Amino acid sequence: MYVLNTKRYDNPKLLEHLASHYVLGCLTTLVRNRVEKLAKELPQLREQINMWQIRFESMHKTKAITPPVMVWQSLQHTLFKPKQTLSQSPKKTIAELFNRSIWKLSSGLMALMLIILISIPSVEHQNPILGYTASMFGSEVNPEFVINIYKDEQAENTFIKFLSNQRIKDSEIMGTLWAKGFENDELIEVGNIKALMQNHILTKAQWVLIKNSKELIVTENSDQTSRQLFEGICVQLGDWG
Amino acid sequence: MITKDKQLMGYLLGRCALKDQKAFEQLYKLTSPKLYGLLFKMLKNEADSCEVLQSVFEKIWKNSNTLTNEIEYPWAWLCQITRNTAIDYIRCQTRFNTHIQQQTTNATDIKDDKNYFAYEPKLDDCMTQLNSQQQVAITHIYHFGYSQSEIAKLLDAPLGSVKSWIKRGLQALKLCMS
Repeated sequence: MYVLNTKRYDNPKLLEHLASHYVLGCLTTLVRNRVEKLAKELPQLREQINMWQIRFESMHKTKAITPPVMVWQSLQHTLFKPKQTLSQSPKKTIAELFNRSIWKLSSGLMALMLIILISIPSVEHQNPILGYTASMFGSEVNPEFVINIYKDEQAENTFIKFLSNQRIKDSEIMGTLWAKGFENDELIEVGNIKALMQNHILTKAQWVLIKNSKELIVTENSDQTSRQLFEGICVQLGDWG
Repeated sequence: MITKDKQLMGYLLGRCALKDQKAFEQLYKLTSPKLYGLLFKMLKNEADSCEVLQSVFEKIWKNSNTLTNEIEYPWAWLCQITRNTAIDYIRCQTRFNTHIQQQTTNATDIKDDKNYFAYEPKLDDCMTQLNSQQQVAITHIYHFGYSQSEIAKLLDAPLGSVKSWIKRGLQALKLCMS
């Protein structure tokens, strides 16, 4: 297995050269792919790339042109068209139809619950800004749920929201949320997931913990040595203006 | 793109990571006109721009499960992935030589073409401080996906000189914009 030798990339001039040329777009495809892989492992390089992207951002000021409808249609066809298999029978049994109705009803109820959940902060608090986000991974390849942290600039309150997909029920998101510090990887308890899901509002101490964390972790219970259920890198979204 | 849209974009990318098709559709509606405009500027052709736009959104959807942990500036990232895809597309096209010939006539007029290269005042000020070779090299690489050797051909200059113009041009831009 290839192991990255990061020593070579300690040189800030080299990182700056790679980042600036990557963002400008004059690297060969091979080198560009290499830089993208490196950026995943080297936060300094990622930071440099971000800086150069911000510098060049106003170059993207182009006239907005609505693309032809066929692009979206083609995308839908390519990405979402259900795959028909030979074993699928065109005739559906009553049981299948019944199951489908139940499924539709339960999906509808889940969507309604999600909408209510999402709308809670926006009803109670004006203009919440999404400040931090973490995609929480368990044993699956795709994230199981997303933790979003909002800040209400006016009231100076912070809120936490858990967004789950259809694979995982809200009731399955349980345990204790921990913040892993940047400096020493120390785990500090943020709170019980169920309590956070019910209350939404974070205390100042909880906000600071999340703000200063590099990773959020969910364990089975309030003992930090208990089984780890989910983990996700905590990303600051900040102001993209 | 206003800040509110960019906030929404971050949220939608998060939803795409959870394979939420509605969020993907909303992201497409929000960003595709700007990205299509960007592609049209680079490729100057509707059919090519459509093809690349589709390819960009396919990448976004297929890789979305890893996105939210990597992207701190969603709009900048979307523009980067769009430009990278367009650059790959251009490099694959045999028509690139024709593209270069078409652009050659424009290269010397670049400073006067304010509508085409409409930057924010700060970047605009900094760009005007660069010499004409640096401006041509940087704008042509950024907007049309030229490689350094293609710039050398365009300006009939040695490759080493072009590399040096780009390096110094970038340093000057960084200094000016800091």
